[in-house]
Amino acid sequence: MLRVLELRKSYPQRGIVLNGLSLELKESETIAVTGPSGSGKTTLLNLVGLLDRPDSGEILFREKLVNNYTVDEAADYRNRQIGFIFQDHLLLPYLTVMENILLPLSARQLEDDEYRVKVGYARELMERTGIMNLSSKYPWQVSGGEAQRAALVRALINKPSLLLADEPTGSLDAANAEILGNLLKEISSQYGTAVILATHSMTLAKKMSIIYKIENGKLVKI
Amino acid sequence: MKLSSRKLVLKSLIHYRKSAFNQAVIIMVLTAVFTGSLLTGYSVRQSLRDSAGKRLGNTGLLISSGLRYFRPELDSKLTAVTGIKTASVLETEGSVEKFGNGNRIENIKIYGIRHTFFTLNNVQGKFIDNVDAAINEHLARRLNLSIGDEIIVTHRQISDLPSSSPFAPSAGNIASHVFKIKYIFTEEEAGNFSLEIKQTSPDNIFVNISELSRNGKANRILIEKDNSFSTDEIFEKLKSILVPADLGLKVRHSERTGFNEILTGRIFFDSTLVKEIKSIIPGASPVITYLVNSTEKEGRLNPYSFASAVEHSLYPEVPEGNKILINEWLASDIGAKKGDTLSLTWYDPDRISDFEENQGKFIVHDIVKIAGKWNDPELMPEFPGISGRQSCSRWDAGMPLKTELIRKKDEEYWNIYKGTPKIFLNYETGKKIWASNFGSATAIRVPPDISRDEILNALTGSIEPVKCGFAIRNIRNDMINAANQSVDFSGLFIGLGFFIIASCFILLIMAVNSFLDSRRSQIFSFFALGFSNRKIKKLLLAENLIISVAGCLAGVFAGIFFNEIVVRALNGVWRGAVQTDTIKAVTGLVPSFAGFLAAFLTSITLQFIRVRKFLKEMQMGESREFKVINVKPELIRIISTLFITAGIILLLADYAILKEPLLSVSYSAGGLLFAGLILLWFFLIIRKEAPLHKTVNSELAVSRSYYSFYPARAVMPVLLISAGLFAVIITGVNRLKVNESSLSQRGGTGGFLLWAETTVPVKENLNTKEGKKAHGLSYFPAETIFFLQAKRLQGDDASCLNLHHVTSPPLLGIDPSTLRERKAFSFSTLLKEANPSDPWEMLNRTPGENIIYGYADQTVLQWGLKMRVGDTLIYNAENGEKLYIIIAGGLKSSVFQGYVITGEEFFSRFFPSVSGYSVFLAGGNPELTGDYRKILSARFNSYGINIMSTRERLEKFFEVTNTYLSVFMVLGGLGMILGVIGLAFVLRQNYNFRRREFALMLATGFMVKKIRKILLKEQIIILVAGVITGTLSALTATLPSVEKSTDIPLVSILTIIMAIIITGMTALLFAIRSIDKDYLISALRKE
Ligand SMILES: Nc1ncnc2c1ncn2[C@@H]1O[C@H](COP(=O)(O)OP(=O)(O)OP(=O)(O)O)[C@@H](O)[C@H]1O
Ligand SMILES: [Mg+2]
Repeated sequence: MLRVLELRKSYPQRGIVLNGLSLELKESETIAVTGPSGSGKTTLLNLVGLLDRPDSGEILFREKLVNNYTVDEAADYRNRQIGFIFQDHLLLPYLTVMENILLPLSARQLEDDEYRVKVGYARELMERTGIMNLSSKYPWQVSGGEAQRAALVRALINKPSLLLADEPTGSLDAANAEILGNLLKEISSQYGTAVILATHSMTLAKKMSIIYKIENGKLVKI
Repeated sequence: MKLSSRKLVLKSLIHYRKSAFNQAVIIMVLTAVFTGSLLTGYSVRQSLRDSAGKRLGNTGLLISSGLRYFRPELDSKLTAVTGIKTASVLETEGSVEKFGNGNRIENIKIYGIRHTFFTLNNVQGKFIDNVDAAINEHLARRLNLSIGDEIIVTHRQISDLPSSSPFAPSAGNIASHVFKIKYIFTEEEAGNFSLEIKQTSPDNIFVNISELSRNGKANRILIEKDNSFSTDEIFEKLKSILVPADLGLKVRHSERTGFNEILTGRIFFDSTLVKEIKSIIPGASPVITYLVNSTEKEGRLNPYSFASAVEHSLYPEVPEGNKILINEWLASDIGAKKGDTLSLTWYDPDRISDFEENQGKFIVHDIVKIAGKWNDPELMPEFPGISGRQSCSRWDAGMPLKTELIRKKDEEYWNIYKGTPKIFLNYETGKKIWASNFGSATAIRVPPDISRDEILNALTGSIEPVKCGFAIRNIRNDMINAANQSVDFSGLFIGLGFFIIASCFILLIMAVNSFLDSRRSQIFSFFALGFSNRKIKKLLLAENLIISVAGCLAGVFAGIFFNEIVVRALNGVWRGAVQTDTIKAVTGLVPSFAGFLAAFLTSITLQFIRVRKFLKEMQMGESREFKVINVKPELIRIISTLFITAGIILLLADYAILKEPLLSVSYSAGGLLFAGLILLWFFLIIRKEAPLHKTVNSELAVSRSYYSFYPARAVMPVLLISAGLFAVIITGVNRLKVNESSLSQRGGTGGFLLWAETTVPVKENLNTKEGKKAHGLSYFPAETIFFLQAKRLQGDDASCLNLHHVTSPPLLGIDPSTLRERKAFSFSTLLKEANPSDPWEMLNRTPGENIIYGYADQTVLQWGLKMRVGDTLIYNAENGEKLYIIIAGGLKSSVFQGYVITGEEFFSRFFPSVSGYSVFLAGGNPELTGDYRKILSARFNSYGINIMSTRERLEKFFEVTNTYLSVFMVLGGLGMILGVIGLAFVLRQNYNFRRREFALMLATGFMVKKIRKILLKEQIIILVAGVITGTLSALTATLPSVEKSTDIPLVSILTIIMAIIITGMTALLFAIRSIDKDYLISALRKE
C-alpha cells in the first residue's frame, strides 16, 4: 500500500536527518519506528503524512506518487487516507469531545446521509474506546488518557487506510499507555488500518507486527 | 449537531474572547481616530456652511458695483421686472465709538439699508430712521451697547468722485455721524449679515442708506435666494432697466452752444464707457477739460486757466498736434501772437497726491474771441471745490494753489466768464497728457441734431452693466464652495493623530501575532486533519472579520465621542486653530461610514496579511530560519561612542562659538545623540559577557542570552518609544516664535516696527514733506518714521486665521522701490522669470495687457488660496475689465499674510477709486517704537487706525500653527501611551517564545516569582531606556529654545513622560499577572 523510496531530508541547522530511507507497508500492516531522540521519527511520519516535503525520494501511496501533490491535494489525502495522532492530543479546547471527533468531517462537504453514518461510526468507536460518556465534555474536563483516546477516534473517523501515530503515549502514564497501545492494535486489525507508530517505548513497539529502528537516516529492522 | 464553519468560528471566538476583545479594542481606537477626525472635518465644514447660510439670510445672488455707486432705487426697479425680492445696500467699513466713554472698535461693517432690506429678510415691523442705527449682538457685546445708547460711526466719505481724483476737494475724506441705537438685531433678524467669506462673527451697524452719502448711493444689490433666474438673466434684466441717472450720468442741454452733453458724477469718464456711449450714440464726442497751472510766454505768466481738448467733429477750428487756440483775453494777458510758442504746466493727473507737475510747449495757431462756442463756461467740469466759488483764491482743488499768483484780473475773468477755457487743443493731444486712471473725458458732447430725450432714450437699457463696473455672482454658492473647500480638518486630525494610528497599527500587529501564536498547535491540527489551506484561512479570517466589525462599530461610536471632545477643544483651548467658538459637533452618516470603512479595511488587510504569512510559515514545517547576527560588538561600541561624543561636542561648540545657539546645530547634536544612544543600547545587548558574570547575576544572564540572540526584540521597542517621545517633545518645545531673524530686514517683519491699518484711506504720501506736514508728523520723533504704505482693495482674508478656501483675497498696491532698496522680506518660492536678487522688481512688470504680477505668503498660497506660484488670480477691475494677477512668488511667513501684494502703479490703474493708503508698515528707530505707536494712533485716530507691532502681528499668525503643534503633542502623547501598552504584548510574546526555557528553569529549582521578575525587569529596562533616550536627545535638540523661552509647555511634556512610564508599568504588571504557574508547568510536562 505504501512505498517509500530513497527518502532524503535535511534541515539547514541539523544537516541530514533521513538519508535514503526506504520502507514498504502492506494493507493493514502495523509497524513501529524507534530510534533515539532526534533520529528522524517525526520527520518520517510528517513526510508520509505530507505535512512536510522530502528533499528527494518518492512516496507512493497505492502505487500513486503523492509527494508531488499540491497543497490542496495533500490536504485531501490527509483527510481521506491518513489519520494522525501525536504526543499532544491537539484537541481544540473550544469544542466538546464529540465535536472534536467530528471535526475532520468539516474539512469537506458531506451529504447529510453520509454525515449521519459517520456520526454512528463515531459513536461506535467511542463506545469501543470507552469514552462514550464524555462526548459533551470539553478537552480540559477529561483526563490525558481519555483525551488521547478521543484523538485516536478523531484520527479514525474518516476510516483512513493509514494511521500515523507519533509518540501517542508520550504524555500518558503506564496504565493509560497500555490501554491506548492495545486499542491501536485491536482497532487496526478490526478495521484493517495500517499503522506506523513512532515511539521510544519498546513495550508499545512490541504490539506492532514489525519493529524498525532509524540508524544513520535509514530504517533497520530489529 | 453538524459542525458548521459558522459554529466553529463562533465557538472559537467565545473561547478566545479575551484575546479577541483586546484586538477589538485596538481596532476600536483606530476607528475612533479615523471616524472622529472625519467627523471633526465634517463638523467644521458643516458649521462653516451653516454660518455662511445664516449670515447671508435670504440673499442668494449679489450684484456689486465694486468701488462705484449707483442709485439705490435700482432695487425696486429690478423687483418690478423680475418679481423677486431685491435690496440695495451700501456696504462700507468703518469704526464705531460708544458716545461718551471713548470705547472704540475698528474695522466694523456699516450697511446703509432701505426698507427693501427688511422685506428681503422677512423682518417685520422694523424701520430705521435717519438718526437710528441697528447693531448686531456681537458688536453690542463687544462695546457693551444697549438700545438707546449713542454711537459715533466713522467711515470714508462715500462719493462718486474718488477723493484722489484730480481736483477732488482735499477736505472731507472722513465722514462721521452720531446715531442712536434703536435695535439690536439677532441672527434671525439678519443681524449677522455678511458678504465676507470668513468664519469669525462680524460686527455690524445698520443705518439708513441716505445717511451715508450726500445722495444716498448704494454699491450692492442683494437678490433673494431660490429664485428661478440665472446670474446672466438677472444681469440682462439689470441692463434693461439701467437709466443714465442710475449710474450717476447726467444729460444736459447747453443753450450757448446748442450741444447736448453727458456728464458723470465721477467727473471723468472711463475710456470703456466713452467707447460704449460712442457706439450707442453716433457723433458723440469726448471732451477733456483740465486745469493748466501756468501759461507762459517769455516770462509773462498767466496762472490757472482751464484748457479743453475737443474733437475735430464738433470743433473743426481746433488744429491737430501741439497747435492750440487761445482766447483773446489770454493772448493779451501774456502778449501772445499767432505762431508763438507757449509753455504750459499742469499736474500729472495720476500723481496728483505727489503734486508732480508736467510741462509742455504748444504753438499758438490762432486767437479766438470769447464768444459763441468759445465762451462756454460749461466746459469746465463741476469740480465740487471749484465750480460755484466766489473767487479763484477760494478754490479747493485738492492741492495747494499759489494764491499769490492770482491777480485782480484773474478774479475778474472768473467773475465774468467762470471756468471758460482759455485754451483749446485737439482731443487726441489732450488725452495723451490729461487722461488718467480716472478716465479720458470730462464730458461727452453730442451734436445739436440729437435731442436730450433721444440721448436719454438711447442710453436707457443699452449700457452693458459690466462696462460700469457692475458684477454679479452667486454669493451663496461661492460661500458654500468656500466652506466645502475650507481647511481640511479631517486630514489635519488624521495627520495630528499620527502617533495614535501608528500605535494602533503596531498594537494590532502584535495582538494578531500573539493570537495566532497562541493557537499554533490548533492550526497545526487543522492541517493534520486534512483541512485545506483555503479552509483554514477562511476560518481564521472569519474570526478576524467578526472582531474587526465589532471593533469598528464600537469605534464609530467612540469616534462620535472623540469628535465631541475635539470640537469642544476647538471652541475652547484649541481655539487658536479655528479662531471662532461657533463650531458645532455634528455626526454625519457619510463620514461615520467612511471612518468605519477605512478602519475596517485597514484592520482586515493587516489581519489578512498576518494570517497568510503565518499559514505560510506553518506550511514550511515551522522551520524558522534565524539570521545569526554577525556584527562585532566592539565596532558598535566605537560608532556609538563616536556619535555620542560628536553630539556633545556639537552642542558645546554651538554654545561656545555662537552667541545665539543655532537650532539646526542643536538638532544635529540631538540626532547624533539619539543614534549614539540607540547603538549603545544595541551594544549592551549583544556584547559578550566576561565569563565571570554567570556567578554574579544569573538573572540578567538569562535575559541576555535570549536577547543577544534576538537583539531586535530589545532594540525595536526602545527605538519606537524613544523616536515617538523625541518627536512629541520636539513639537512641544519648538513652537513658532518671533525671533531676532524674523525682526530683521530679511525676516517676516521686513525690519519694520509697526503695522497699521486704517479704515479710511490716507490720501497723502506720508513719506513726503507735505504728507508728513498734513498729518502733523513733521516734528521729532515722528519725522524719523518712514513708511511703507499700501493701497488696499477689500477682499476675503486669506490668512491662516480664515478657514475658508478664498478666491479673492484683499489686494495691496505697494510702490516696490522701498522694498527693493531694503531687500526686505524673503521668498520661499519664486517664479523663474523673477530675479532672485531683486524679486520686488517683478511688481513693476506687466507681461501683457491686464496682466500683472503679485506676491503672497507661501502659507496663504498653500492653505487659503490653494494655489501655486505661476497660477493666476482673476479680479474685476473697476472699469469692468478683467485683471489677471500671476502669483510670482511666495513670501516666507510675513506680516503680509492674508494679502496679495501688487505694484502700486498697476493697482491704481485698475482700481483708481481706491483713493489713498490704508495699510502701513512703519520703520525707524526701534527704541522709539512706543512713541511712534502713540503718535500714529493719535494722528490717525479719526481714520480708524489699528496699530500693532509687527511682532504682534506675526505672533497672531503663529498662534494657529502653534495650536496645531499643541494638538499634535497631546495626540502624540496619547499615541505614545497607547504604544507602551504594546510592551505588555511583547512580554507575552517573549514569554511564549521562551516557555520551554522557563519550564526548564522551573524544573531546575527556579521559582515562578523569579521568572516573572526576570520578564518584568527586562521590559521595564526597555521602557526606561526608551524614555531616557528619547527625552535626552530631544532636550539636546531643543536646548536653545528650552533655555530662552518661557512659554514651553513643560508641564504637558512632563505629564506625557510620566503617563508613558505609568501606563507602561501598569500594562506590564497586568501582563505578568496573566502568566501563571500551571501554564509553565504544563509546558514543562510536554517536554
Ligand atoms: N523544522 C525543523 N527545523 C530544523 N530542524 C528540525 C526541524 N524538525 C526537525 N528538525 C531536526 O531534525 C532532527 C530529527 O527530528 P525529529 O523530530 O524527526 O526526531 P525524532 O526522532 O522525532 O525525535 P524525538 O524522539 O525527540 O521526537 C532533529 O535533530 C531536529 O532537531
Ligand atoms: Mg518525534
